[in-house]
Formats: sequence, C-alpha cells, structure tokens
Amino acid sequence: MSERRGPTPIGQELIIPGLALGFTGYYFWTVQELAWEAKANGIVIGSILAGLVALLLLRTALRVARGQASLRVTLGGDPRTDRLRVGLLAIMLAFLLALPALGTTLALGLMLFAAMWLLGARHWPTLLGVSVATPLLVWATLMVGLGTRFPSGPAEAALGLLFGLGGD
Amino acid sequence: MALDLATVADLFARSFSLWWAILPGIALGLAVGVLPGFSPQNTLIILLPLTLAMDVEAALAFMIALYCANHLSGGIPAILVNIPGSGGAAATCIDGYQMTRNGQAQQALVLSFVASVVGGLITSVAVLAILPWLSQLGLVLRSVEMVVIILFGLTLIAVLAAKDMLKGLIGGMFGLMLGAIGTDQVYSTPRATFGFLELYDGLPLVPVLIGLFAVSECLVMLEQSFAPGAKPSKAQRPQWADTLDGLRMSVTYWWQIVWTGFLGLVIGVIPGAGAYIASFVAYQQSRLFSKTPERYGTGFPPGVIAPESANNGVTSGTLVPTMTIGIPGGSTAAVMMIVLQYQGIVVGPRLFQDSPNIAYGVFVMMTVTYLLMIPLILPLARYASKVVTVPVHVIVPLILGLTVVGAFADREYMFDMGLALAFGILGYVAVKSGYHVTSILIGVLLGPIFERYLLRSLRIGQGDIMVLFSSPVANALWVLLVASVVVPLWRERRLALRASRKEPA
Repeated sequence: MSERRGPTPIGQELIIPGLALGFTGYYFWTVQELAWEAKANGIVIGSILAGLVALLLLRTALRVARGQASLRVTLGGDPRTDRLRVGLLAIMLAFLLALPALGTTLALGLMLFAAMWLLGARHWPTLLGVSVATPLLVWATLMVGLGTRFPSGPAEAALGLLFGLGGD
Repeated sequence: MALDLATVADLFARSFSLWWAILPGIALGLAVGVLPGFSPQNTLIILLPLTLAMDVEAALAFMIALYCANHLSGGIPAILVNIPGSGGAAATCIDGYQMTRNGQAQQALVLSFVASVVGGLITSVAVLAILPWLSQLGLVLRSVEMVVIILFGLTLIAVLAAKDMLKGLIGGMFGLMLGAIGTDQVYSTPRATFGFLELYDGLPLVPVLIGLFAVSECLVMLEQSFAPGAKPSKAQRPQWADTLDGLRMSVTYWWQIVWTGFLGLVIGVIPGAGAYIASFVAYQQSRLFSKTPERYGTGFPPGVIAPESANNGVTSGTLVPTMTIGIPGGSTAAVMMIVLQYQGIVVGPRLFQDSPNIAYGVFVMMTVTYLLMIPLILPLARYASKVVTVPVHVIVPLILGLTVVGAFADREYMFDMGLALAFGILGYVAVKSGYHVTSILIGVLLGPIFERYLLRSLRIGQGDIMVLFSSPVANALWVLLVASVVVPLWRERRLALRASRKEPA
C-alpha cells in the first residue's frame, strides 16, 4: 500500500522571483527620468527577467491547478535547526552593532564564543582557544600586518601597548 | 607577447620563483579540501584580505595552488569515510569507499592522487599549447558578440549547473539586474541605490560573494550537520607496501588517467559545467567503454581514476573561458576574476594583449603547481588517513566570523559587512528554494560588463536594438543560445513521453 502524500509545497520558489521583480520595479522607478543610455541596460535585462518570471508563474499555476503542488511556503528546515539559524544570525547582527564600540578583536572573540556555545560546544579549551586565538590572528595579520583600518577598541589599545605599537 | 619557447621558459622561471606563494597554497588547499563545507571558493573568500593585499602574480599563484590542491584532496574523505570533500569528488565515493571497505584504502588514495596530479598536469600543458589560438578571439569578438556571449554563458550555467533551467535563468538575470545598481556609465546618475552612498560605485563584489557563498553555506551546513547519521572518520594503519601497490595500479591504468583528464578539460571549458558534472560524466564514460562494466561500484581502480582525473582536468578548463572571453567557468574562477578586477586587470579578449604575463602565466603557474605536487603523492597517501574532521560547531562560527570580517577589508566600510549578511540570507533562501547562487553571482559580476558592451553596441546601432543581430558571429551565437535552451527541453519532453507510453495502463 503506497503512502498517500499531499501536493508538493512550492510557494518558496516564488520568493526569489518576487524579490527580483520588486527590485526591477524599483530600478525602473529610479531611472524613469534619466537619459536612454542610463535606462537601456535595465530595460533589456528587466524585460527578459519579467518574461522568465511570467513563465515560472504559468508553470506554477498549472501545477497548482492539476493538484500536483500547493502554494505553501517551506524552506525545508526542522524547527530546532531553524532556531539555531535564527540565533546565529542574531549573534552576527549583535556583532555588527557592537563592533564600533568594542573593537574588532573583542567583538569577534565574543561572537565566536557565543556562536560556538549556541551550536553546542561545551569543551572549554576549544571554546577559549578558538575565541582568543582567532581574533588575535586577525589583529596580527589584518590590522597590524596589512594595516586594514578595522574598528579599534579597548583590546586593540591594550595589545598596542603590550607590543609597543601605540604609535603617535 | 608571442608565446615562443623563450617566453614560456621565462614564465616558468617566474612561476617557480613564486614557490613561496605556491607551497602554502598547496598545503592549505590539501588541508581544507578534506573538510566538507570548506570549498575552494570559501577558502579563497576567507583569505581575500590577504590576496587583495598581495602582488597580483603572487596572489594568482597562491589561489591557483590552493584551487588545484583542493580538487586533489576532496577525494580523501570520499575514499575514507564516504563523504566527498568537494562536489567534484562525489563520484569518487562509489568505488573509492568500496576499496576502503575491501581493505585497499591506501591503494585508492594513491590512485586518486596520481590521477589528480597527472590529469591536472597534462591538461594544463595542453591548454598552454592551444592558448595562442584562443588568444586570437580578442580580434574577432566585438561589443555585439560580447553581449551575446555573456547571455550565452549565463544560459549555459542555467542549463548545466542549475537543476531547474528556468530558475537558473531567473537567478542569472536577477544577478545582472543587481549588477546594474550604481551610477550609470555616461551621466553618473545614481540608479537603485536605496539612498546608500556606499552603492554609488555599484554593488561591491566581495561582500556579495561572501554572502552568497560563505554565509549561506554556513546556514545550510547547520541543517546538514545536525541531522542524525553523521559518520566519524576511521583511523587507518598506513603501510608503504599498499602505497606502492597503488602506484603499480596507476601505471596499469595510465590510459584511463589521460583520456578522462582530457574529458574533464573539455567539460571544464563550458561555463557552468564544473567538476561535479565532469567527474560523473567521466565515471559513466569510463564504465561505458570498459570491458568489465560490472566491476564498477565494487571497488574497481578505474572507478577512482576516472572521476579524479576529470575533476583535476576541470581546473585548467574552467580558467579558459575566464581568461579568453571573461566569463568565469565556475565559482572559484569567479573569485579569481574578482581579485584580478580589484588589481585593475580586466579579464577577457583583451587580456592577451594587455597583460600576457597574466593570461599565459595562469596556466604556467598551474603546471608548476602540479609539478610541485608530484613529490607529495606518496607521503600524502600514507598519512592522509590520519586527518581528523573539524566539528561543525567550530567550523561554522569560524567561517562566519572570518568571512564577514573579510567583507570589511576590501573597501573598509562597515556597510559591506551588513551587506554580506543580507546577501547571506538571500543566498540561503536561493539555495533552499532551488535557485543557483553561482548564476546570481556571475550575473552580478558580469552586470557592469554587460552594460558597457550593450551601450557600446547600441551607440554603434544609433539606439536600434537590432544591431545585436547584425553580425554573422553574433547570429551564430544567438542560434546556439536558443538551441541550448530548446534542445534540453525537447529531449526532456521526449523522454517523458516515451516513459508514459511504456507505463502499463
């Protein structure tokens, strides 16, 4: 006896086309008063894109009409992993917000520690080793070695004093 | 610069003098190739701050060495634990893992390494030999042809790499549309910048790349790794006798290495085809022409050789369209193209006239990389089985932290780090809903180039769009473009019809 299954959810397939069409509309709105040279590229690509999305919509409508698919939206993740994913993105967002105040070394260390903890790491030597060694490596190579002007904070100031890199 | 013997010798001398960049590239490529999730493009993305700061030739040598070594070591976990380290090693699992189960792990590793190194070496030399002819493309291709070539390249990526052609095309066109963000090329008026000054120069490629590949892959990796059934790696006891036995097998099947390597090269030249397709096609063709096809899947040496040789034949093939017409053959080639663009080098038909040392040098560097890898084969095969995989709860935070920090290093804007995160979410949605992120990235990458050629063509044609159909070469390319879309659809429909006729009522 075969297992009875419902129609395949395909609503998620419309997210990217929706974003693409939305962006194309916004693009057309921003170029409406510009010279043809500024519009030509967007019009050519936007028209092809609109045609392709129309084909996808037609295909979707046919599949839904035949009962083979439904417009339910799913990205296929289980609830536990989805929670971890959202938590990870929240940590990344907090990292970006804290970066100007804490500086790159400290913010990156905290971000790594929090992310590893969230994903289930409980081995203290790993937790501390990775979240201390990696920011120090970034500081030594990117900030000191290559001179990239990452946001600085108390950790950079302390490291600068420790290694005599205080500058002027 | 003509490619005579003296020039080749000079390029080889220059490449060998870059050993200090090639050897770390090889070591890093080998190390990260065994880690599923650490693809060559992700490793290159993490190291972008470093490569952008390096001299262009050293940066290229480093990236190429990492790329080639990564293709080689992707077979190690495929053979030992049945988990491919990269997409190109997926077909290696079939016979490689069976050899491990039959107690022939060392032999399988030697077969894999010899096939990879020899396959990569002979194909990079072959490409070097035909490059003088390919470099003439710059004299044939004008703006009209380039417009069609860009569309053709995106179409091929959609047809071959994406599982769903329509979605692949939508992804590519969305990318091209995003590539049009920024001030226009004639009047410098801002378009679709959402009011951000940081977007006036166009969408920055490094954060887009980081978001679409690294961030999105981390989000996907969580799901794959938290699922039950992950297999730990098994420790193997290495023996020199088994290693030498693998070498003997490699010599026995030398012809397999040669022809499947060239098959990989040909497939690699097609934009979008890549290592995954090449290795499976090589495996299938090797089985097709074998006198003992029934032995495939049971731990048969040619079943390891074919995908590994093709997988490395692809490395030189992928760079051919990148260097000759400016269409990256795959995602790693796209990363290299971004680094070259950052250094002010425009890849494409003019590269052979403007920077011949780069155009030819890339393939010489690849040859040198494979030559430097030869002495590593036997010791690597002996000790590779001791490699321990890094747990996901360490890899994911590390990739996220280092890549998002790397997004800042390019232009030193905090905005770019946020942009990488935003594109990460876009990339994740794209992956999970069946859209191909490579086609979106290549669209973004080619967007400004497409606009430049399109505007030039339209000016030549005084605003008439029919100028795009005014040249015989362009028209031939249009026909190929249409055929590449229509033929697979027609064949799919015919197969479906045949299958429905065979089904009993």
